[in-house]
Amino acid sequence: MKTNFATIPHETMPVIRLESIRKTYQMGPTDVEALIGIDMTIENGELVAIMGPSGSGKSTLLNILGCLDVPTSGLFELAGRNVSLLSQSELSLERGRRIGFVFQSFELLGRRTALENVELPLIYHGHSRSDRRRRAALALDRVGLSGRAHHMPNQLSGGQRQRVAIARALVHQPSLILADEPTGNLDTSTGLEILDLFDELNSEGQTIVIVTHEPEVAERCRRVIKIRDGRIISDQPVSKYNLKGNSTDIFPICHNNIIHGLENGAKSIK
Amino acid sequence: MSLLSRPAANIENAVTQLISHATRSGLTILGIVIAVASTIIMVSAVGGFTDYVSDFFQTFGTNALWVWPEKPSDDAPSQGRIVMNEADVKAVTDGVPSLRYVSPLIRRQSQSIQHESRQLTGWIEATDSQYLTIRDFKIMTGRAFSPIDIERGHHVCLLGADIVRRMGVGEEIVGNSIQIEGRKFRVIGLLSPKGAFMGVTQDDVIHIPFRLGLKLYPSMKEAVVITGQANSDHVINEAKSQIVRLLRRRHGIGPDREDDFRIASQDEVLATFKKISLGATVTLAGVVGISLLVGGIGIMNVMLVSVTERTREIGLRKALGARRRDILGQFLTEAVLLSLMGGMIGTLIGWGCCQIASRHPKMVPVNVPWWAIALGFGVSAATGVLFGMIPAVKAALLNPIDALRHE
Repeated sequence: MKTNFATIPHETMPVIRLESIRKTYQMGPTDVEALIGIDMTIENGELVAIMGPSGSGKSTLLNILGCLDVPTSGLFELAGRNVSLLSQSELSLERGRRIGFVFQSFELLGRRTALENVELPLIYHGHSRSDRRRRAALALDRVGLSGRAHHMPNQLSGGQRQRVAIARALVHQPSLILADEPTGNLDTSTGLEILDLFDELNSEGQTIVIVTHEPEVAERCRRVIKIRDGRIISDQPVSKYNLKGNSTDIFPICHNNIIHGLENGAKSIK
Repeated sequence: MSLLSRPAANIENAVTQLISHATRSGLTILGIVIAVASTIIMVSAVGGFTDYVSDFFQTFGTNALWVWPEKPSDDAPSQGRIVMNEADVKAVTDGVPSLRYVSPLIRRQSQSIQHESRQLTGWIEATDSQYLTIRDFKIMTGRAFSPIDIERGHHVCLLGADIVRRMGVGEEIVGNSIQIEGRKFRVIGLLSPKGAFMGVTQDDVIHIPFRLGLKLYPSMKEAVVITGQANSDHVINEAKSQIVRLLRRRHGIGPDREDDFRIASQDEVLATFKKISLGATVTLAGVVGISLLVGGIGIMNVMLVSVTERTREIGLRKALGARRRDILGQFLTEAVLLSLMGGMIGTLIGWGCCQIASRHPKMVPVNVPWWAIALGFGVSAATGVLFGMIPAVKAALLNPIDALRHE
C-alpha cells in the first residue's frame, strides 16, 4: 500500500472510485440483490450526501464505503488502493487509517472521558500514549470542545456528544469521514450546528460523505447522490448549498419535509 | 506484531472496565480467591506438618539403621528359632565395612525405677558407648559411658529428660543413685531432650551398659537389636545388603527362605513418610483443581455476559480499526487480569491465614513455600487464559455491522 502512495500523488487521486459494485445477500434459498451495479467517484475535498429511503441499498453502500463489508463483485478503490479483495484484518487496518465514522447515535464509550473517546482510533495505530493525548486534544479543540475534554458522555449534551464523535472521526486524519444520519438524534438547531461543523471541515479540504434520508441535510452538501432499489437514480450538484443560518432555511425545510412525506407515503402504498 | 497486541492499552482498558464493574468483578473472582487461598493454606499446612515430622525422624539419628529379629511373614515350618545375639553384633561390627558405628541394644520397659520414695516406669535401653553417636543423643550434664563402664559392667546410667522431670529432680541427681529392677545405679549424666512427636517421646529413657541389660533381662539375650550408622547416606543401601548377606549366612537361611530379621533405616522411614505427604499434597491439589475449575467457569460466564453487553462497543472498536486480534487481546487481558487479581487476593488471604495459624502455640510452624505462591498465580493466570478464550474469541469474531446494530 505504501507503493501506491509513492507513485500516485494523493491530491489527484479520487478518494473513492466504485465500478459496477454489486452486493448480493443470501437470504435463505433466495438471493437478495442490495446493490446492482453502482458506479461512482468521489474526489478529494468533496462534501457528498447519499440519500435514499430505507431498503434502497443505502446502508449496504455505506458499509462497503466504510470497509465494513466487501462487495460481491466490482472494483472499489479507496484512495487509490483496491480494497475489494482485502482480508478481514487488512480491512480493519484500512478503515482505521482511511475512514472516520460518525454515527447517528454517537457511539461513545460511556465510561470514558471525551478525550479518551477521541483517543480510541489511535490505540489501534500504535501511537504512544502522550501522542494520543496530544492529537485527541487537538481534535477536541477543532470541534470546539477543548473545555469538555474530561467530561463523561453523560455530562454532555447531544450536540456536544456528536462533536466528540466527530473529533474521534477526525483524530487520525482520515481520507474520508463517513457520517451515517449524523443529525438523526439531534433537534433541528443542534443538527444545523453539526452540519455547520461539517461545512467548516469540508472547507478546510476534508472529504465527507453524509448518508441521510433528510433532504434538508442533503441540501447542505455540494452534491447529492440518490439511491433507490440498489441503483443510483440521480447524482447532481446542489445549487443552493451556500444557504446558511436561519430564516431562509425555513422554506426549504418545509418544502423538503413535504417531499419527504410524499416519498414515505408512496413507499407505504407500495 | 504479536498475537496480543498493545498490552499497555489493553491493561489500562481492562482496569477501567473492572473498576467500573467493581461489584461484579469482586463476585466473579471469589471462586478463584477461595481456590487459591485454600491451595496456599493446604500446601503450607501439609508442608509444615511434613517438616515437623521429618525433623522428628531426623532425631532418630542421621544415616542410622536398625536390625531386629522377626519371623518371616509366611512363617515357614522349618525356620527354627529366631535368634539375634551378641555374636551377630560382633559379626556385623567386623564384617560390614560401610558401617561407621555399630551398637547392640536391648530395649525393655521397666516397671520398677525408683528414686528415694518415688516409683516410676520407663524405657531401659542397654547399649554401649557408640549408641549416643548413632542416635544423636547429646549429654546435657555429666558424662557419657566410658569404654571401661561398658567392659566392666559398672552400675552407671544416663537419664532422659522425661525421667528427670517425672522424678522431680534437677541436675543435682548426677552423682546420686537410683534403683532399677532392685539394683542400684549411679547417675553419671543427663541426656538433652529430643522432643516428642504426637505424644510419643524419645526422652522417656534410661541408658545402662549393655552387659547389665543382659543381667537384668536374661530373656533378651537372643533378641538383641543391632543399631548402626552408615559412613554416608550413599552407602546405606550397600550396608543393608551387606548385613542381609552376612546374617543370612550366619543364620543358615537357604536361598528359598525369607530373612528371619528386619532392617529399617532412618532415611527409609523418612522417604516413606515423604511419599505419604506427597500423596496428600497431590490429593489436595486435585480438590483445589476442581474449585479452580468452578472459579474459571464463573469467569467465563461473566466474560460472556460482558461480551454480549458490549457488543456495540466491539462493533465500534472494529469500525475504528480494531482487528480481531485486538479485540481478542482486549477481552483476554480482562479475563486474565480478573483471575490474576483473584490469585493475588487468594494468596494474601492464604498467607495471612498461615501466619495467624502459626501463632497458635499448639500448631506446627506453617510457612508458605514460594512455589505455592508461584503455583497460585500461575494457575490462576492459566485459568484466565483458558476460560477467557471462549468469550474473547466470540467477541473477536463478531461482525462489525451486526455488532453496531445490536440493541
